[in-house]
Amino acid sequence: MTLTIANISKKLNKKPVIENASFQINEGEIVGLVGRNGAGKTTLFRIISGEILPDFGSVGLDDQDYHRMVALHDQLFYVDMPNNWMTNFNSQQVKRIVQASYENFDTSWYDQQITRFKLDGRQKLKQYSKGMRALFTLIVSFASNAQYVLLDEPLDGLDVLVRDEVKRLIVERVTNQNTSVLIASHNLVELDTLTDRILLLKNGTIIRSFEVDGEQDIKKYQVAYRSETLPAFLSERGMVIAHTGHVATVIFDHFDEALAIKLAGPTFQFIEELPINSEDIFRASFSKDGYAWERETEIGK
Amino acid sequence: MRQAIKLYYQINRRQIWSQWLIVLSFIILGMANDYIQAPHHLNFTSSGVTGSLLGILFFISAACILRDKWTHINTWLFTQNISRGQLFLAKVIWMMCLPIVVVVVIGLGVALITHPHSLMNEVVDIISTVLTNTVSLVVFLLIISIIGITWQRIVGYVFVMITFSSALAVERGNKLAWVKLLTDLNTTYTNLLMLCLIVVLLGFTYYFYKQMGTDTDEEAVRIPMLKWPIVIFVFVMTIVGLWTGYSYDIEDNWSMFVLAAVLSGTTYYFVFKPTIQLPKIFRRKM
Repeated sequence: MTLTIANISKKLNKKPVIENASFQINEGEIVGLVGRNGAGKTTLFRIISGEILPDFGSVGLDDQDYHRMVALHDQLFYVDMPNNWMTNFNSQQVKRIVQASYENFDTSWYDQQITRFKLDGRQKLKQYSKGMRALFTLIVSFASNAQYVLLDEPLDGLDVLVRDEVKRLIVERVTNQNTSVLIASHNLVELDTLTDRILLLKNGTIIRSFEVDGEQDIKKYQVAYRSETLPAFLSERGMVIAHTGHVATVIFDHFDEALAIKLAGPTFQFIEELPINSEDIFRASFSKDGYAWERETEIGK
Repeated sequence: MRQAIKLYYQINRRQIWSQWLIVLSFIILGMANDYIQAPHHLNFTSSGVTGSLLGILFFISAACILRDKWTHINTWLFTQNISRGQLFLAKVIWMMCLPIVVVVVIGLGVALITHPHSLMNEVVDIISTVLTNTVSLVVFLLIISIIGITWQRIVGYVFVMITFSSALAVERGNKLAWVKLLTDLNTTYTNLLMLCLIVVLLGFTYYFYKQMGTDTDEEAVRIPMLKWPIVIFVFVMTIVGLWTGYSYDIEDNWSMFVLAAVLSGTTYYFVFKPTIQLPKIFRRKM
């Protein structure tokens, strides 16, 4: 089963939020979705789930139009993380409601997890702590036995122990049930250890889909330069993420031979390639934004 | 469709049962009160009972439907294995049709007990009462499918009800062709007319509901093509309401045009959200 998002576009208040976004998610994959604040991650989730309708494009599930075929909707589970309908109910009421909608709802697994994390009782979810609510939402999502689960910032604001539990739950369900998970998160370090690949959302569209180990185009270097000031091409072609004295750490997107020759030139006392992670890829992809922002700040001074 | 009915019931189970509890308490209290006042003579009229019960039930229904938005239930239901059209029909069944059926049964029971000899007249009265109440609920449903913001939905509904009831005011109606035509119709035709109105309004609401997404939840008017018609509607209905319902004359009373302009201007402001900037000269002084 493959979830295909094809050329989705959406305007909100006459402003384009999503523009021609396309990607696929296969069975049993954990995919991360990252982008800057306001990039449209939540809007994209809301469109995929059918909460809002796209102006253009389609969402397909195995060549069938997901939005038109409502019978397919129990193959996907999505709820907004912080404020959702569940907060007005207790865990038993939520079970009854979700059971009515998802015919493969795994009651025994749900009860087991609810008892395990002591989430049972007559308390409404709005009385739970933020961490408990996140954990509960995750349990309901996976108990639905939907093939696709969309999680919007599931690790946001959780303490280390709950975060570990959440990650363990995700991996366990993906391994056992072959569920596919799309996770939107700002926490790139967490995504590194959790996801198979990461989608980068910029200006409302997916600009890059990468596996952290497989990204050959991006390089991270620590350099020591001889000149008085930082060589200009470093900030023009890359993103300077650390700079102390004559030593700078720079991430380059689209690293090419010309850049390698420049780095090997007499301007530099030494250069060292460093291992990259998804945060570096994120920075590289937004290096122009960062550079523009730096320039603006300098002009402002 | 069955799935939509089942799911909506599961979500609103508490509200639906509390509705029926209120009905039951109302009946018991009413009968007890009547019995205490006149132990051998029940004062109940079938249309009175039907009207009161339906009024209460529809009020709760309207509150439940409004609540679906701010508890984010609609948001989730839009993502479930039911279409928007099915969800709308499920709401209509639970919040409109079922109360009507139950109240009609109660009304018929009361008619059988109190006026067994004029049952036909009682039935016609019950139908008229049900249709009148249903029109007002359907108008409410139409308004909430067009307007997104909760307080504007309520204001819009109150405005429509006031202006329409004024437009149909009987005192002045004698001078107006449409009111005279309506008041001269016999009950059967009036009922048929109301039934047609209900069907047409429900049809429009269904059509609008099918195109809705939660992205327009905070819009004054959710359907862009209706923005100008609504501003014009407010202007026209204010004039018609004042002209027919109160003793305003077009020839020598300009105040109703002023009021209509103010109301439609306010509507324009909320619908189009224009950016209002003071002229430069004033801005400098401030």
